[in-house]
Amino acid sequence: MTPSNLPDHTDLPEPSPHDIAAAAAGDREAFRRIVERYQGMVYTMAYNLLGNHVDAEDASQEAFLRLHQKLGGFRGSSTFTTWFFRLALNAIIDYQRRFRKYGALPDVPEPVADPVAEVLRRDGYARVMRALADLPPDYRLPLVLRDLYGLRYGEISDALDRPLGTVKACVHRGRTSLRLRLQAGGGLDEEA
Amino acid sequence: MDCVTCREVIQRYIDGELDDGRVVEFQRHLSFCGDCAAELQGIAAARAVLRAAREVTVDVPAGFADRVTAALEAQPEPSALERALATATGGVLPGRVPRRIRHYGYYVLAFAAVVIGLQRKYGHKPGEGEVKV
Repeated sequence: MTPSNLPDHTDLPEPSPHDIAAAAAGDREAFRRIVERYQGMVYTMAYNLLGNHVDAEDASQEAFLRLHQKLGGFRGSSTFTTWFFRLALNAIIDYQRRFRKYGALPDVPEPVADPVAEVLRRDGYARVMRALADLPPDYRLPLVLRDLYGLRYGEISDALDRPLGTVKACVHRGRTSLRLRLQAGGGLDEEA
Repeated sequence: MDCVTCREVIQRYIDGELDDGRVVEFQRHLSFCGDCAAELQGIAAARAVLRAAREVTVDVPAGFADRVTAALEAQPEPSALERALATATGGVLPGRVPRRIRHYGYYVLAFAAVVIGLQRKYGHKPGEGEVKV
């Protein structure tokens, strides 16, 4: 089974233990420093999953408010980044589930491209996001969690509260649908 | 392996979930079936494009941290007791119970209701069946 990519996020510099403890004790400045450190990770995740900036901002904000509530529960058994990644992911999924906002075409973002990711310079990323937004809603979340974030099928099943077989079927159909959409838009021929 | 079977297992192959014997059969089929090979290539390419999107970080809208701080200020500050409870319960503030625990709670409540109901129907009633000596 493919290992989960969650640990990959540990390359983000961790906040200082002092900041975590201070923020948990109610220090708003310390909490703000944590927000500034993680806002890129959380906002991008929300955008990738929800497909537009309005929902991405609202869901990200909810993720940080939830972090503020639960910060006292961080025990250090994993890195802070891994712990918060999962918490933020759940907050975003809960947001999506609550509002059931599906299908809107995404805004074209201004991505800060990693030089290594030549394949996804601005047009490529926007095209992928458009193709994703065009997918049937039940396919998009499982597909993004599986192929973009590398979660295991079992982890996705837990996160979305859906049966394992359903999750697998949604990912499989989502891949096929995404392939057709990217090919129709000329995305795969140029980028793959 | 025929084309129908090949299409059925293509995603499991991509996920690395096929056992070695099936992988050999699958690859043998691809060696002479251009359509199935193209299908695999297309799906794998779509997956690769999606995976590469992980390298992109979207610009956060200006003032986002300010708005989070403002939203936080608008919330009532939890009391010292609530914070202590949150710490003791793994970060869960009162009124917010995790879904799994909530589900278990429903099961426990349902079980307790059944037990109480049975006890009332069949259980020992005071004074009944007692023999006075």
